[in-house]
Amino acid sequence: MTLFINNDVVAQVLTMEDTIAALEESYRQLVTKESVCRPRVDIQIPTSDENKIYQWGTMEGGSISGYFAIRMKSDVIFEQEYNGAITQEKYCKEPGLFCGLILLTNIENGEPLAFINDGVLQHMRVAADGGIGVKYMSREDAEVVGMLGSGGMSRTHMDSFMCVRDIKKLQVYSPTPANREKFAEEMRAKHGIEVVVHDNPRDVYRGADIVAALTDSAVGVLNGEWVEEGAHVVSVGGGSGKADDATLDKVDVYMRFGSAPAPWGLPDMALEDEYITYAAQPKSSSSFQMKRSGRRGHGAMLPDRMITLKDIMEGTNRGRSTSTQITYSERGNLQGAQFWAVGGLAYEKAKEAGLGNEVPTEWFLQDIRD
Amino acid sequence: MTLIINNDVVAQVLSMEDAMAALEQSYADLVTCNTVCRPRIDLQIPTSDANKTYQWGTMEGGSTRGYFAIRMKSDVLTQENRGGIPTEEKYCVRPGRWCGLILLTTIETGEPLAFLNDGILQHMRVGGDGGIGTKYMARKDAEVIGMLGSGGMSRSHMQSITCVRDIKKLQVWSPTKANREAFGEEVRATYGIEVLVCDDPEQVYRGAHILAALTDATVPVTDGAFVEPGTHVVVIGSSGAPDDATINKIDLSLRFGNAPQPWGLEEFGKAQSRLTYAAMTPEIAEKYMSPDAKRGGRGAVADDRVVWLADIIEGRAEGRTNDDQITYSERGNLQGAQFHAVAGLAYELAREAGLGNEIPTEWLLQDIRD
Repeated sequence: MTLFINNDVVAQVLTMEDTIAALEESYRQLVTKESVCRPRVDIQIPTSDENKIYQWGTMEGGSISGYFAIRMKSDVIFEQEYNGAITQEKYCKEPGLFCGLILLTNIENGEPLAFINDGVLQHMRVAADGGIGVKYMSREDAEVVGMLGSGGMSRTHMDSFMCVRDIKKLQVYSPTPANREKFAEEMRAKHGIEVVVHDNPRDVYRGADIVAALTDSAVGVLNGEWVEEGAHVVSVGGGSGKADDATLDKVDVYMRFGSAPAPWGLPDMALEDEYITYAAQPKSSSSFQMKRSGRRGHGAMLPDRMITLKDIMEGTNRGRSTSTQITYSERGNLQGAQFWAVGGLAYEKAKEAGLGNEVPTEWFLQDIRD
Repeated sequence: MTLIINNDVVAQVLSMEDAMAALEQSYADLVTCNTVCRPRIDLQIPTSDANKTYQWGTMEGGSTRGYFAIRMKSDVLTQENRGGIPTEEKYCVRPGRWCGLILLTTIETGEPLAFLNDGILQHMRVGGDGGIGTKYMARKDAEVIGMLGSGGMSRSHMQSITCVRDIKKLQVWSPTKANREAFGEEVRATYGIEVLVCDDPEQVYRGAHILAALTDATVPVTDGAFVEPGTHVVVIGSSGAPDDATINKIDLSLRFGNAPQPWGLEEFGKAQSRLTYAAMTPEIAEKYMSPDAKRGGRGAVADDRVVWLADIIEGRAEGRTNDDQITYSERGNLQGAQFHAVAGLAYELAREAGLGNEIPTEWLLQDIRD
């Protein structure tokens, strides 16, 4: 039987600690060529509503340790202004619903094992990356988190930071007072730490050992002027996930986990880009700001100050070397290496616990070969 | 509900004429940028059995007309030798079963509409392309087919070629005598035409107006020494190209098109038929990767003599200009442009007929956004 595993099941069986461990193992295997992934590929097609574009996106990877996974996103995207900032909105079928699906297979026999909703997993894998960056790059004694944003990504990042550092205090700002207050209350109760809610972004940076910008704003929300010595910076979402120029100017050491390998026999096609986009009627999205029509995804941010997980694994380079350095971490275009590892783990645990809906595997197989 | 549509249903609702019309429309829409697709991408991962490799492959595309589709293949590959010819064998879960799945969505809302087994569709879309090539390039009075191969692709090519030319005779050879004889009998019964079952591949070429090499050999199976003036050549299979001697003889090579270039990435705008990312060291790849994957697929056949389908459709170029020319046709790396068109049609027809299994669409959706 092929399992359909929903977000409730994933939330029930998957822990942040396990997610971080699974991802670190996957990245290790990429270095030793025991696993593989390819860059994210998006397809954009205008809908009959000129303000909306269909966007399909996939990420793929697998490992000799047993699993392959593709993550597929199928959404209609549009942009709107919210409190003066442009945000990207999306839905599938109707507003409030989204389609993000992982198909997990067994590399030993090709069998389709499970379809997994990616909502919980998605937040956990992104946050786990934030945690891995903090683990290798932030000060050992980091205890104050400054956070911009109070949504799902903020919740999971707090989980991951708590896994790798002895966090004592959270300073948070997000545009809507009710949201940031609610988030603060939740974090106090869940992690038993001091939480200070700020009504302006500036104060979040004061004394923060870790600065985390976690928003879906179309423009960057980080302000490098305020980043203090010794801080480690994590940025997700805002302005294509890039830190602002002022922050980047200040960064002493940049850790990029790595880049997807080149396709076989085509070394010219080795890419550091976050995504590759193919578009129908490419001019139709020219007004979109979040993902600019015709532009490549961003690559390695600071090649002159870059180290990779491979360097750290092989002991050829250290992460942070002083407590005053400003550091920055991001995954690189390895998204495809994440879903087999975390999806495989969620599948095993769901199966053990007897959870998920079953569909006959025979429905996905056939007796006609191509 | 999301439909799961099996091969029996596809065979029941989809005709070769309709499949060919849907494909031609999609190719025409590529020229106007209303269809988009990207080249096929494969991932290869060694299994624990040194002779077997897991291969995942996808093709994607969609159209402003309304549908998007991804075709996914999940199989274990072995390189084998059949009657002295190297072939690629494959299975999923167990020998005799394969996994080829199409996920169809609507671009207007992103909703996942159906999963379709791709066995019948796959044969019809490849056969359909052979028919389209024949329609534009073979002699108008072509009536003799020379065929190498007697499997599923031979059946679908008989369907498509008889749609576009008044075929009177088939000359067929394949390595296994029983197979070619059974196929010959079937063609006699189905089409009421003369069939010559050949004991020697050379016989196939004599007086043939259309030469179709339809095998899963990983090396070219045509022999240009025997190709006669006036012949139109079609080749499919792992190698997907004729031998050099045939290529040298080709006067005019029809290519339906190339996948469009992704945003800002000229190096990806090439004619490559596939990109393979592999969890392999060069030593392992040398031993187990097929020659085609190793060289990164291939570009256009006889690329100095190419005529494009768009130019023929729009009257800017001619196909064959006399009865003695040797012509060739191939799709190009547009596989991704096929499935939204043909699967979209099969889906509509299956729904009208009330066929297919249903699963709740809610299983594929979620209320958590990324």
